[in-house]
Amino acid sequence: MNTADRLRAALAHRAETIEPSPDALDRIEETLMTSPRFSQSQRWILGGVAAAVLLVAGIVFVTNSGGDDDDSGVATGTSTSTTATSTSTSSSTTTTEAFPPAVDPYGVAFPSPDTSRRFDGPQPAARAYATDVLGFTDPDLIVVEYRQGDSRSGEVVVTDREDGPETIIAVRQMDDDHWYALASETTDINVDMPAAGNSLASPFETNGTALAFEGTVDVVVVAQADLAQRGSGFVTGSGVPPAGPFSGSIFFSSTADTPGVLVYRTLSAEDGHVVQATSFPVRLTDEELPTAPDECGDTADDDGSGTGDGDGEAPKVVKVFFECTFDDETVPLRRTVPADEPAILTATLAHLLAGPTDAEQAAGFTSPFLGTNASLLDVVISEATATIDIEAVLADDLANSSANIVAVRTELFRTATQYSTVESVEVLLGGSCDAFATWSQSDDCLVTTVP
Amino acid sequence: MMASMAPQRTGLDPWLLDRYRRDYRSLVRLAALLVDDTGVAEEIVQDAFVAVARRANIASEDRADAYLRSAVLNGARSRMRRRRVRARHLRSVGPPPTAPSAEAPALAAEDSRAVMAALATLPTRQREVLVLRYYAELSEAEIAETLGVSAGTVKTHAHRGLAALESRLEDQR
Repeated sequence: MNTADRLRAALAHRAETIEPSPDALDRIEETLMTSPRFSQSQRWILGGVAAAVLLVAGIVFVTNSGGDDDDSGVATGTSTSTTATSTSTSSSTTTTEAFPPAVDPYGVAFPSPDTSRRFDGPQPAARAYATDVLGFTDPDLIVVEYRQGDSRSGEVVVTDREDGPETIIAVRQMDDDHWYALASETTDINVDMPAAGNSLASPFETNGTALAFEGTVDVVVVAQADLAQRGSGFVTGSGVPPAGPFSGSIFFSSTADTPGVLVYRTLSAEDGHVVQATSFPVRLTDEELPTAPDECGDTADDDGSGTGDGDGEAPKVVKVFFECTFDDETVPLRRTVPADEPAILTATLAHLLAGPTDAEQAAGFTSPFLGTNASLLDVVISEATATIDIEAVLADDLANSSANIVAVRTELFRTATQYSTVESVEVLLGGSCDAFATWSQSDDCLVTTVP
Repeated sequence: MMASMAPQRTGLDPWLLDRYRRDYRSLVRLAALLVDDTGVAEEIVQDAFVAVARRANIASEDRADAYLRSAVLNGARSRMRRRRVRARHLRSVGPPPTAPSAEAPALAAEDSRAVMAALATLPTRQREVLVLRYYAELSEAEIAETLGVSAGTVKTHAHRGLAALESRLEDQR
C-alpha cells in the first residue's frame, strides 16, 4: 500500500469515529435567532457565567462586609448582580487581598505577581489585560469568545468592533490558582524580534511583518508592576495586503532589571482607538548600549540620568552619535530628554552639539562639535527631511578638513535619522544652505547618506 | 441518521436545510480531521451554516457548497492558529499544574494512528490539501477554489505534503 492509500485509509478510519451531536440544527437555528456577534460556545459560557454570578452574587450579598476599599474593579454584591444579566465581562470575581507572589513575574504578562491584583477567571483577566495594558477602549471592547484548552489554560478572543480583527489573548491559571494573561497575538502583526522572555536594553532593535492602516504599528513598552509606559515608538509595515516587513529601534527607560510587556498595536484611522495588539512579556534592563566598541565602551556612559521615576513621567532615552578615536567608527551614546519634551529631535541635537562628556572623552569618544561655540538655532522636519540650522560661528570655529566634514555630516545624519520620520538632513549655517555647502565643500547642504 | 435528527424547522431556507442534512456530518468530519477535536469541529461547521444563512447573496446552491467548505477551512485554520498561540506561550511557563484533558483519538489500527500522527506534523496548508484530496476526494480545481489558491499551488502542496508524509512515516520505522 503506498503512502496515498495509507493516508486515505487512515483519514477514513478516523472520520468514522467522528459522530456529530444530534442537536446541531437546534444550535444553528438558535444562533440565527439571537445575537449575530457571539458564537454558540460563547453564549454557553455567558449563560453559565451569568448563572454562576447570580449564585455568587447572592452569597456575596449575604456575606459582604462592605468595608472593601479596593480600586481595581472588584465586583461587589450589587454590581455583580446587576451586570450578570448583560455580559460576562463584568462578572469578574477579582480579589485584592495581599498575599505573597507565587508566580514568576517574567513568565506572565499581566497582572504583576508583585501586586495584589488577581483574577479568578480567564475572561476578566483577559479583559483587564486588553484595556489596561494593550490599550483597548473599554466600552467598545468585545470579548468574542473563550476557548478552553486544558483545565487551566485557554485563549480569549477580543475585538474592537463587530467583525473587527481578532486579538487572541493566551491565558493560564497559575500555581496560585488565579488567572493571568500570558501574551496576545493577531494575524496582522507578527514580531520576529525580540521574542517573549528576551532581555531588552534601550534602544532595542525590532523587526517582523505587519499589515496596518498606512502601515503604522504603534510600539509601547509597559512596566508590568505599575503599567506605566516606559517607552514608545512606531514601526512601519505595509498598508495594503499582504503584510510587509518592518524594522526599527525603540527607546525606553528602566531603572533596573524589571518585568515589562512589549505591545505592538494598530490604531483606528477614525479616532485612534486600539484595533488589535500583539504583545508579550519581556525583561527590561538598564544595560549599556551594546553597539559601542570595546575600547570606548567600558566607560562610555552618560551621567546616569537615564532612569525612570516609576510614576509614568520617565525620561525618554535617545541616541547621539560620536566618533570613537580608537577605530574612527561613529557609535551611539545614550542621552535622556524629558518625557513631555515636544521637540525631541531638537533636544537630541542639543545633546549632540554639546559633545561627549568628560568621562566619555576619557574613554575615547570625541566629536567635531567639541570646543566650538556653535549652538542650535532651529530644527524643522518636513517631508522626511530634517532642516538643522546651526549658528554660523561653526564655520569659524571648526576647520573644514575632510575628517571634520565627514564627522559633522555623519553625526548629524545618524543622530537625526534614528527617528523614523527623518530620512535625510539639510544643514544650514546661520540660516544659509550655501554657507554649509561652502564649508563642507559640497554642491548642496542636503545629506542623504553617509559613509 | 441525519434526517431523523433534523426535524422540519423554519430557521433555514429549504435548500440550506437539505444541505445540512446531506453534508453536516461530512463537514464535521472534515473539520475534525483538521483540528482533531469533534466539539470544535461542530462549532466550526455550525458557524459556517449560520454564515451561509445570513448571506443573502449566497442563494445559489453551487456557490453555497464552495462557501461552506471555505468557511469550514477558514474556521479550522483560525482555531488551529489560536491553539498555536496558546501552546507557544504555555511552553514559556512550563507544564500546567494539572494534566490536560487531552482528547485521545480512538484509532483502532496502529497504521492509521501513525499516519494521522505524521499528518499532524505537516504545515497547515499541506495538511489541508491532503485532507481535502484524500478524505473529501476533491479535485485540484475544487481544492483551489476552496482554499483560494491556484491549481498549481494545490498540486505543489499535495506533492510536497505526500512526500513529507512518506518521509515522516519512514522515520518512524
